[in-house]
Amino acid sequence: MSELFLALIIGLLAKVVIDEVGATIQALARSIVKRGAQLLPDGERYEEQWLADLNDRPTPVRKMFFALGILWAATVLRRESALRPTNARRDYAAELYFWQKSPESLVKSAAFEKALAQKGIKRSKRVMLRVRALYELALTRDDLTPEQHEYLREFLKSLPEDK
Amino acid sequence: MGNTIDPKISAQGAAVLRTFLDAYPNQLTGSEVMDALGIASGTLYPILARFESAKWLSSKWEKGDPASLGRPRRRYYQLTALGSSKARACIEFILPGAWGRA
Repeated sequence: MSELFLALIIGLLAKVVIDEVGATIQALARSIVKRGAQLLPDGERYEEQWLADLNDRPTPVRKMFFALGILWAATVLRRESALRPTNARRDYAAELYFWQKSPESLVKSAAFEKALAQKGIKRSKRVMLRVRALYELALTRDDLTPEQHEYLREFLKSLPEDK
Repeated sequence: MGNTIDPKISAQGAAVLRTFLDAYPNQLTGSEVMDALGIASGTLYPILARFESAKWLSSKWEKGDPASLGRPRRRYYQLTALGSSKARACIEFILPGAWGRA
């Protein structure tokens, strides 16, 4: 009888310990996932997404493996996002390129845009707003002839405005 | 649509595309893809991010807010039309005739 009682107590204690260890592992896994998400520029999105996917892992051990994988994924994503040109860097590169074009080349580019529009080939408004910004910049140059300036100014009127 | 660069396709990437093609037009969470393929989170999420960046996949939040759901919202991924055609071409390239047999 006492052996049975002892076995029952040991079983209960083992369950308490296992539950406690499981809860600790889960808390640790959550903390690792949050830390991983913080490594990324759009960390808030990834934190919520990854915590939801963590919830779907069935056991504490799988949750921990998932979390450790997330740390690796975050490191890879962080490295790749650093290599990917941001909009700001792309914009700067475009402005620099545009600034270095010759006045004749600027007029040719505008004529090309006009030809595209006449053929009904449309680009997204976002792209056209960038084109507009570039030509607005080009109009501030002092090496344009009055004819070139007028041509570009007329072309600018045909581009959408940011409202 | 802005210009995007086609991502490099690894064996796991091709398997992920195949999973989305099989599920198309249903949406899948990262967790569901992991269950389907048995690949690690460290491998899967960079692949999903590359495909999303290339506009082969789109993603959106589960409807509802975390407070009413009682948990964080899931993020669902789905093949775009571009992704669908690229995925078929990619699988056809890797395993000629496989798509037709499926």
